[in-house]
Amino acid sequence: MTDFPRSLRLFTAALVAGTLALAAWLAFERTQAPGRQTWIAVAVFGMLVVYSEHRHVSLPGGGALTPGLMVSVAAIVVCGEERALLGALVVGASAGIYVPALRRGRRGWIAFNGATIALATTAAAAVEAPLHTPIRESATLAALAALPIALASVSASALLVTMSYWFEERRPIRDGFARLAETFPQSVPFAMLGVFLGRLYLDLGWPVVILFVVPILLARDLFASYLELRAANEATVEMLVRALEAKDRYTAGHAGRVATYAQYIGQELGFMPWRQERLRIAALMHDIGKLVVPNHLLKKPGKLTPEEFAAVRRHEEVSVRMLNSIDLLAPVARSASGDHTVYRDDDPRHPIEPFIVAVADAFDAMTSTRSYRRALPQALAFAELREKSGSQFHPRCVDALIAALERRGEVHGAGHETEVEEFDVSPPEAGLGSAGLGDLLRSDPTGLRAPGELA
Amino acid sequence: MRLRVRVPAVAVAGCAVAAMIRLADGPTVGVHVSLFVAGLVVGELLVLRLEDGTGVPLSYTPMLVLAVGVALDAAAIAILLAQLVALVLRVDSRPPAERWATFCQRLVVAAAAIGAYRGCFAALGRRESLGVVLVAIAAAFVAAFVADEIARRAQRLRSAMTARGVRAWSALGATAALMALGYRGVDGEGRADLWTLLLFAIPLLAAWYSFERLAAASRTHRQTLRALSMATELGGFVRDGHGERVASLCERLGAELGVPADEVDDLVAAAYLHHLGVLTLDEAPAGTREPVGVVAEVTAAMLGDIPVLAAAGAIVAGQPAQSRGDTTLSERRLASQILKVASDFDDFSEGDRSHAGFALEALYSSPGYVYDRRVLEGLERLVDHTGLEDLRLRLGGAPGTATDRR
Repeated sequence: MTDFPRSLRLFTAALVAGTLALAAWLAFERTQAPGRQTWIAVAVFGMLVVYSEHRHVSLPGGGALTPGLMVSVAAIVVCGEERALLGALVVGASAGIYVPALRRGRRGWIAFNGATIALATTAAAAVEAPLHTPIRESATLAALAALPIALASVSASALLVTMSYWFEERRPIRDGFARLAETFPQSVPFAMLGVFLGRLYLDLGWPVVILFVVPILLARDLFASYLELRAANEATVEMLVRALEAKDRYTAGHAGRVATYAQYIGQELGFMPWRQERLRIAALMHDIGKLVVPNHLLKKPGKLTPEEFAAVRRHEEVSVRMLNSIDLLAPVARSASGDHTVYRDDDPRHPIEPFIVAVADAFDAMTSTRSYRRALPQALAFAELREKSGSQFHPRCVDALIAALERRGEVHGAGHETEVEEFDVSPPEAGLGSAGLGDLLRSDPTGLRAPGELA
Repeated sequence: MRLRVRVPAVAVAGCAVAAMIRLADGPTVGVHVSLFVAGLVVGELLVLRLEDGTGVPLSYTPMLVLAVGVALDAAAIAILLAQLVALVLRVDSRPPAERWATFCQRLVVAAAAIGAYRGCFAALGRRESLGVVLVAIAAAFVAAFVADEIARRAQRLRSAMTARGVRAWSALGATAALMALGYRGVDGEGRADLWTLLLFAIPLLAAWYSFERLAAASRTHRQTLRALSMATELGGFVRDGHGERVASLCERLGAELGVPADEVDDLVAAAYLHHLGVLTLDEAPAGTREPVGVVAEVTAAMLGDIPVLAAAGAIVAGQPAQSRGDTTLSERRLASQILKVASDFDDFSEGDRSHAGFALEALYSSPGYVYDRRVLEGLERLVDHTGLEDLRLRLGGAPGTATDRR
């Protein structure tokens, strides 16, 4: 229990003692002792719960998907036939068994999880007891009964977890309510399925459990494959971005930062997760066409000739073609084109993502040191964005970026750069802007010009 | 009309018809049949998509429930009606011949399932027990699967016996058996009403959702690899379409030479990305080329940094290795040889299928240690049997022009 917080040990010990005391009381209370058939069901559902917990799918945003609650509720209904709360408790406790945690010697967590789920399952079983007859008689009532059963299970679990957080780090109790509100809607469909699975088990025996669980486990496997493939895809794109940064070291970290700022804006605008993902990949790939620009042009320290400049600008066309060839990114392929992200010329039916990338790109261009100019202070970058909001930049994107950065208390730009490239020739204080910004000038090293004075 | 409109529209229409029958004091079987028709049509619209883009429809589940749980005439009417509606709904997505073929395929599958269930039940003496009912349902399921496979062969579609196909049929079979058992019951009296059947469909719908996500992610991944291979093409380092053609050829050669399916996936990724390293190299002086193997080495290092592409990186890395006439190549070395042969074949043929014979001859006339004989023979078989017409070979410039800069 070396990795188990000391402050939690006492609480967990009390929880385990309480669970054992409850189990002993239920075992000696004759009317609530499970019969042989119920013990068989407890064994079936107990093994299924353990299996379910081992086959959970970790979600990218945190949390996990597992059919464990469904199996527990089915066990509650089956044990409810004999009012055997002890059976429900045992099935719940088995949810704590997790072999990888055992191998790592995390016995404290196993004890905590086992006791918490055992108590939550027993609470749900106590709620089910008076509803058992209606559950058996009517499908509609069975569906409705899933609501209080799920609520009892999730509430008891949220209460105990909240208490543990309070013991461990004095986290506010209201977090527990937030957790309850978040978990309950997800748990209801699983609880409903569990109620019907329990009914079927009672009517037709254990084979139906297999029939019911097979598609769920297949769905789980496929969903896990999907998450792996999605991660693989993102890793592929990131590999390319790294290749680009290795080629053009003066823009090291640029794509990653643009993707981060773009996601900030997306969050402010209330994007759904799938849209955030698309935005992130489009932002990461917005300069990917630079891969085809000859190295000697990217590394040229002086001014480019018009022909060289045209060759460098070709990267936009290449990036757009590459993004267009991916169905997911095709609607936002204009993100890679500087010429097509000017707000004033836009058709309002176009998606907003290219404008988001344009704002994020411009902000990073201003707040990073480039070969042609040192990083500007964030205040000047904000002023520039505001100045061109509604003409060059989409006003909502500008407002969203500024609001997001201010709320997070992040400061970027001069004096706050985390990655500064060593240049062979020290960049000037002022110079040509990229990302369609034109010349960014400073009147003197100590004072900033007003945005309107910027050329 | 999009799927998200069609599916609710069909469901609402089915419920409306059922409500009207109920209000008019019509027979209960009429209510059930109208809801099953809606379920069948929805199931026709939602398919479990397989690796090759074809699918297995969810409608096989209500079809099996009908085969098992209602009278023959009611089942036949419901299935025929549903297939006619589905025929109309598919009007904007497929050519007529294909729609009629699918219509016939579904009727054949339904007939097989009904026949097998009734035959099996009669053979078992019409005794009512859980085991007998389960065996009869299993017989209906197997008959449906076999009929579907035969219909697929008749339409020259690939077998559904792939990794995803087996999962799709398992999910359909398990849910169908559960629904049929719940609806029919063991003693002939069903315990589950139609709402319960809907609830039983949730795991299958979850499986469908996962299939959809996986199919979309697979498509995006392949398109991303293709887009990345475009970088070398648009940069003028290789001929247009080289990555796509080599990937297609590697896929076919891999299957021809018995490379396992997951290795073929790595081989395809390697084929798309095998020139990628050239983008990061400093330009070679005018009139010279990057040394052979340098690009492969750089590319392999890039891919090796990404765990999911590490195997593809190893295939690229092994590409310049000479075969030395070894007839027992390891899988990884075989994959590298396939990539080498496919890439050089595309260079020699210059993306033009009419040059396939010349390209093959050029490969054969190289010293024996350069290319693996087994791979060359596999390629020759493909050229002889298919003429490579389906390999998306495209014209890529006049013969004799430079191809790539490895």
